Amino acid sequence: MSVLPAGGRGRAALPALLAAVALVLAACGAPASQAGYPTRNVQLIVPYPAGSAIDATSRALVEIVNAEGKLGRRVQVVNREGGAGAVGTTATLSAKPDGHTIGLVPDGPLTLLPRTEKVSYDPASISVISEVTTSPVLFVVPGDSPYKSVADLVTAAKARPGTITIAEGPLNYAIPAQKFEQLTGTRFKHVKFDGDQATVTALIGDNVEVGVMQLAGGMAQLKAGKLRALAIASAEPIELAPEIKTFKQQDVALEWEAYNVVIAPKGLPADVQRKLNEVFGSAVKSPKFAEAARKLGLVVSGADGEAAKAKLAEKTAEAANLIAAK
Amino acid sequence: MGDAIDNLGAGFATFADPAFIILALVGVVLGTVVGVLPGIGPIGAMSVLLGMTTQLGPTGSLILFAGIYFGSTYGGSTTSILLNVPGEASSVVTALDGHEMTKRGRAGPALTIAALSSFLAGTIAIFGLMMSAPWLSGLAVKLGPPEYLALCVAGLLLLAALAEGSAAKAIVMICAGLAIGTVGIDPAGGQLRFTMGSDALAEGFSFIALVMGVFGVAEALTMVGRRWRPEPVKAPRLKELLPSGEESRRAAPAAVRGSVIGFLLGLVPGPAAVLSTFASYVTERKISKDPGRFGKGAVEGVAGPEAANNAAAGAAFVPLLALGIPFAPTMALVLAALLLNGIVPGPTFVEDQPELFWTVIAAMYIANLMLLVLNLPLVGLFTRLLAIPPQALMPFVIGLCVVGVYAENNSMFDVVVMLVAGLLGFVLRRAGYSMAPFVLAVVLQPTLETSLRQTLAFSDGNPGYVLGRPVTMVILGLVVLATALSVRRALRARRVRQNTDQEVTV
Repeated sequence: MSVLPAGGRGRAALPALLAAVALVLAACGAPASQAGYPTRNVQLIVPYPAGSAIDATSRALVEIVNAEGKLGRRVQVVNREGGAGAVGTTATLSAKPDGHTIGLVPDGPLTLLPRTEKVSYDPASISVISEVTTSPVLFVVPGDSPYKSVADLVTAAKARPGTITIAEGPLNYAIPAQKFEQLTGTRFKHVKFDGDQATVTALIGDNVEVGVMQLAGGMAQLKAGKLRALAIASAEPIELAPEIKTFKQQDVALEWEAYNVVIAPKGLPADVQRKLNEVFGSAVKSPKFAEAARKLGLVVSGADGEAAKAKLAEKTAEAANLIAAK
Repeated sequence: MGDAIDNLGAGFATFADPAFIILALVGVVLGTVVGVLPGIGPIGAMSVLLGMTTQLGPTGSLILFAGIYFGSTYGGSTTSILLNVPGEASSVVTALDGHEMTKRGRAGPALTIAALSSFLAGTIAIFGLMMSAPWLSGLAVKLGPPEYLALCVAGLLLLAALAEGSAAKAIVMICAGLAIGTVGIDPAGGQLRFTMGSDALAEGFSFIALVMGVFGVAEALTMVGRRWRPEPVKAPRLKELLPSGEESRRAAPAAVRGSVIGFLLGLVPGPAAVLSTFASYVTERKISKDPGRFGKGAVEGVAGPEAANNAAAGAAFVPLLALGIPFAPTMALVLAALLLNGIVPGPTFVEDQPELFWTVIAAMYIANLMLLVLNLPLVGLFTRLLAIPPQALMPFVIGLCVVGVYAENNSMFDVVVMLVAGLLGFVLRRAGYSMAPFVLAVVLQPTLETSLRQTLAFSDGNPGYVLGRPVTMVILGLVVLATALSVRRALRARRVRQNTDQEVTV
């Protein structure tokens, strides 16, 4: 829908064209008060590289947003990776709060990273548009591992403290691993791995005994029996993999999930915020997105902007306690 | 084996759909173009197309992506040979002798040999993939942090052995590369290092910017500074594109050896395509009766590495299709395309999706054939670039580098990094420092660091952990051997330095 002239030709025609665009948008059913937004394509910043799980999620979501066409303009995914998500988050939050730059970020850069790193954004001053997906953290062992349950693992860890190797990595894995040790009075040998793929490889190759990861990272191997999930850190067993018991069912009060949210800089005009909430809320709840998320091994979240913001605050507070307790 | 042939036949039958043939053609052409253009690589092309993959379906997406991937390894060598500007990191080694051949008026044969070696290697790799996918990936996954550590150390030492001229200078450049590589996010712990508070440095120095700088810009500066003798570069006739009998005899076995080396290294996670080119080059020079020709336009130095990077590209599909684990960023994109189509490659992929697997194999054959058919006539076209005086061509090359680097991250900072790297590279090259060790050190740094830290964490500092791992010991043994050989070579070189005081500066 490229209506505006690209060059400088016909400057006088610009107001007329804008009016025409407004009319077209109105005809598309957009309320008149929102005719001003968006005036161009919206950039959705993803702070991880193309090909990562969150990138695949973003592209699936954006495709639905564009197909539904409720925004009136297209959304484009822009990958700004680096700094454990800090680079893309900074780029999102330092943009002009006019709704043309938004971001789909994991919660880590908002809830955990500011605890350990100096970041150049204020994680509290943001506009939250919608939660997109959640992924509870799992403890996984190789398919031929002697550990069949959390109890087996705890018994073994007590028998030889500090020797069972556990692969973790980013804070969203390191913190639940630590919390598990506190809750069960055990100690593991922590080895940092660079993401779920690396952890899966190390587990299958018997180079590490336990791995902390998300369901999305190990689905194929779990289904094929190359890996076995000991426990999932969700409140209830999840629909995607109902056979995996929760930590709670195994008497360890560990709940921890990572989740992805659509955010924008603080101070969005009310009508822009409303429009984005509506557009993304409807795409997240669409059956098509549910299908895409299921394939990727992610749980679709129903939380709207307000609920998601409250959840971020809660996790930030919990992380503050855990990281301080270290 | 009989089964494999039946299945492959079925794969070709599926592929006969004209839509798939068009997709393969689009893929290889696009791949060749991004391969020729420095800076824009297959990763960029694939990520732009990722949004289309649900419309294309799993088979269509795989065909398109395989075409792009193979096409880029073909295309990357062209600018290496003609302009000494590697289109991709995996073509850095090709520039050593390939560009020398160009200087000696053998650009046509160099390009033809590169294309033919690539084709041969692609075919060998696909055959290997077909026969060995499940078995080999099971083996590769056993490699743990100590093995990666040993492989990285081996890679860097091989390189010190490879660098002509002063080994001390090569080691200085390796250290510089490792140091540059530590800037940005710490790969295991997520801490920011040496960023001086700058967000631009949070992701580290862009590899593309560094490579474009030390190769592209530095080369352009060197060329412009040189006095250009307006040789009458005629558009080569078909006969001039063909390698001589002598060249073919030397190139063929080198291409076979390169294919084997590339395929085996391609199964290993990490920058296998890049590493395999270096390994092939060193091997060719070690077994040559006349190693003195290397760096002066030896055809083996083009055929071996070009075969190796294509074989590695084919082998990279093995861990992805057999385990669902991408060992390279390009493979991560292929994985994403499959996931978006609801296909989760894993240990049971070949059994669950035989039709898809064999169609992809068939697509790879066809893509390789298409590339050969496309590239041979284009060799003449690319050779004509040489008729342009460097003073006119080089600004264009620099412009291409600027656009390519900017396009990668939309970042002016990267452009500045490239220009500074280019100036430094220009000065250092004049001082006899070669840039290949620097670049490989930057590539290997994250793997080296991560595996070192993991090894230390696993072992609690106890060397018994490493000594108890046979594969590590074999690799380390080879490292010791290579070091001994290069020390011997250095000593011999010192003795004859007066006579053969020539340095090949990459």
